[in-house]
Amino acid sequence: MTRASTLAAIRSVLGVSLAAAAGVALWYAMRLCEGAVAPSLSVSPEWLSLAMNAGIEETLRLGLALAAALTLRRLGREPGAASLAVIASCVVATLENASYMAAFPTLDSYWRLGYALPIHASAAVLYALVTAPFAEPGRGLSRRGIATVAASFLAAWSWHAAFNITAALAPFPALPAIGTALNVIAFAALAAATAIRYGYWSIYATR
Amino acid sequence: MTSKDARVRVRILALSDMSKRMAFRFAAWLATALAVWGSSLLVSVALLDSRLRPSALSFHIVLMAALGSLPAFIAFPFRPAWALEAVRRSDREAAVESWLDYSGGPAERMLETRAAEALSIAALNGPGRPRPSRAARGVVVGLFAFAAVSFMAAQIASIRSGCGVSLSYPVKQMPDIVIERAEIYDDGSRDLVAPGTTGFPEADRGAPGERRYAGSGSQEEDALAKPVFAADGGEEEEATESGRSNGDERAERKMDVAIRGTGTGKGTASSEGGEPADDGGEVAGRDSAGEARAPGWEGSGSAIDASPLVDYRTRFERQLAETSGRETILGDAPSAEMVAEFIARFYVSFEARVAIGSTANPGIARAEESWRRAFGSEAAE
Repeated sequence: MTRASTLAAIRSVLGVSLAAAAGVALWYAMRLCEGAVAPSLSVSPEWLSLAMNAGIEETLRLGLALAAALTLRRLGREPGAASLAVIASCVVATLENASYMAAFPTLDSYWRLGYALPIHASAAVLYALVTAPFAEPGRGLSRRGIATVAASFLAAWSWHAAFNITAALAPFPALPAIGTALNVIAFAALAAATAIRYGYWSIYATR
Repeated sequence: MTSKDARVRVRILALSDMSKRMAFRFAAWLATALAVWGSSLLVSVALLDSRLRPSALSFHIVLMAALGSLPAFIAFPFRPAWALEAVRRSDREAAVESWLDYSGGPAERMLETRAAEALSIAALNGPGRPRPSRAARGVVVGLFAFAAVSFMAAQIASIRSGCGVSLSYPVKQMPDIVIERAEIYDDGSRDLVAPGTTGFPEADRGAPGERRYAGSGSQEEDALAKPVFAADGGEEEEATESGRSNGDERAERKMDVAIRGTGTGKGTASSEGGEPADDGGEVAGRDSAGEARAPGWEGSGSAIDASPLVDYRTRFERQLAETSGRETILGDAPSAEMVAEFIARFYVSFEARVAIGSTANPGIARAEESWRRAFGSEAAE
């Protein structure tokens, strides 16, 4: 193993560890914020409460993605490293799954792997894509970039809230399977877009 | 092939390369998840009877974390050099790479023609397969091997420990039954095991049923002796004449007096303390208060009848009296239905019930209800 590859491996391990730690912090921040607004939401309709909680989670996730992009820009790392935020979201989903497993100790909790986890991961991938321009050296904050970030935030929030509200207020027997299929498709499309953007963009950009 | 066709071919090449790389990432995730699954099973089975055994909750959380890491494997940061590597594997003469890097000019037509030719050949031969590094392949193969070994070891240990084949958290199908035999027998009890070696004098070996096992107690104390129902009066002499043993005679006499005592309120069975029976007011098996004392037959009133069912009822009546503080709660002649009702009333206090109060947070209660409706087992039915 050459010195360069050793350094690359160390850098990867460090990046994964930092992302995992950021995921724990993100989960804790989500819990704190949702707990803080819970009293004011207790008298509101349930759909509003669910939507607000989804909004809090997406806001904090977007904040983490922006912080990661600016950090990468300062460190001079390639923008594709922003995809490490997916690890942070996987950690968030794992902690959330653990709390659900503790509350509902049945194998039904495994449905969350298909229904809930891809929502977190897809949002993280989407934010990594749209915040990439902020991670590139020499590129400032353009109006178009900000609009793209805002639109992606609204899309992620709507998607997240829709699945939460449907599961809470209008469940039906096929919901877990249908939700899993939709979320997996959405995640696969976003992951492919990220791979093209950061792995094969030289081909797409030139021709 | 036109310029547009060349662009499409290049993008197909890129997508093909990407899917193969993703497949390798998927294999890496699968190997990791299987390794975590196998090792979790192995640890849970190996520590089955240990204090360090992981709980079912921790087992499932670890497993869910491993399964849920798929997005992290798939979306791990991509290297920008992937496109160039894919093109170079399919185009060893750099025709496609030259065309891609040429930003427009007089040579474009020529480069485009050469690139189209190279792409046509690549389409026929198939694009080259991306090869992950040897270290990455070694890690994945090692994880698969570890998963297989740990899974097999876990199954062997699981079957040996009585859990059967365990695909999830191992649970013993048959609980361990530990029988602790009380040390109640003295050395004399071994005579029971080898009755022929106890050295009983031949003279003491009478008729069957006469011998006293382990030499303990007297025959008068034998409250568990087989009852002999015999008529009153001169039966005793008749028994002697017919050559019966002394034990049978005593049993007959005991039962004879007991039968008479049932009617008169007097018994003749020997008391628990082993005092010899007499025909006076304090008779065998019953103290001065009229309480039967002989083991298995104690009680009062009608409970003195020679019936283990009545004895059981008597014991229960005493426990009920101790619990309720009322002496004759069942009355003198309780019916079976009445006893059953009181049994149910008495033992209801032993039922383990957990009083779960209502959830303080109505939001959490709503979330729990929603979860059950959306993802509970009954929801999928």
